[in-house]
Amino acid sequence: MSFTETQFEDLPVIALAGRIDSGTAKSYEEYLLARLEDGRPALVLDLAGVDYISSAGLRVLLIAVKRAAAQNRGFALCQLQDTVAEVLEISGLTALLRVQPDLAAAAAAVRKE
Amino acid sequence: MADASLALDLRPEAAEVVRLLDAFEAFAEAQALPHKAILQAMLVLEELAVNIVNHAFPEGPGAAVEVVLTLDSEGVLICDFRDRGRPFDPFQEAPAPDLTSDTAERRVGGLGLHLVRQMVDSTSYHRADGINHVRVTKNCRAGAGG
Repeated sequence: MSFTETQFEDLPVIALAGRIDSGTAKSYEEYLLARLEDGRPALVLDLAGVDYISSAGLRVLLIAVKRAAAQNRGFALCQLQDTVAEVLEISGLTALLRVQPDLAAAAAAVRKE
Repeated sequence: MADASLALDLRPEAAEVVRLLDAFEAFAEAQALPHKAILQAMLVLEELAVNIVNHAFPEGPGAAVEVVLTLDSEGVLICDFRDRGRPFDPFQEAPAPDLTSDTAERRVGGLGLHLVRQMVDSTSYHRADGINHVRVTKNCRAGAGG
């Protein structure tokens, strides 16, 4: 499990890596909600390094998108691995979690919001 | 190839779910299962184990949960969970998943077992002698996309 702060153009991005499961969900939740407090315009998450997500992880992403919406911030996920994209699709969360193919699309999506 | 199996007794607590995932991942990699099938099977195991840990023992931690995973010669993974918790059929009694509400109303309850049903080929539940027995099977080889 790891978090890396990166940047795409002028937009702060968080790259997540590892499994988002019932053992790590709490740490991801605390980290993401704390990042929403730092004034960033949007929570843009690069999931390229995440190969596994369970319902515990979906719950964290749902909490994060709800918090972002409540604060009028943007939200987007991008660069999902196939297995993770499949779990979101089966769960009916692809649109709600603003899944985008890459960082450019994610940046464009949150600038439009 | 002969059948291979992995048996674990889990204390019904959250940290034990991670132990199950790590043990299965090592087992499945040793059996050279496809990466995608391993990840899908891990999801199934996590959701079933979390369900038992969270719901089977409302009175407090109970007896160990027996998990037996068998990979047969055809590449079918048979997952058996036995627990002495309260009677609970996860495939009938779990809440229906919410797949459509807007952001503010969306709930995650029931999603875990919804994912299990989508990822496996068969599910069964029975209770006998005070033991819940959950079995799911999943073909992990050759075109098994889940």
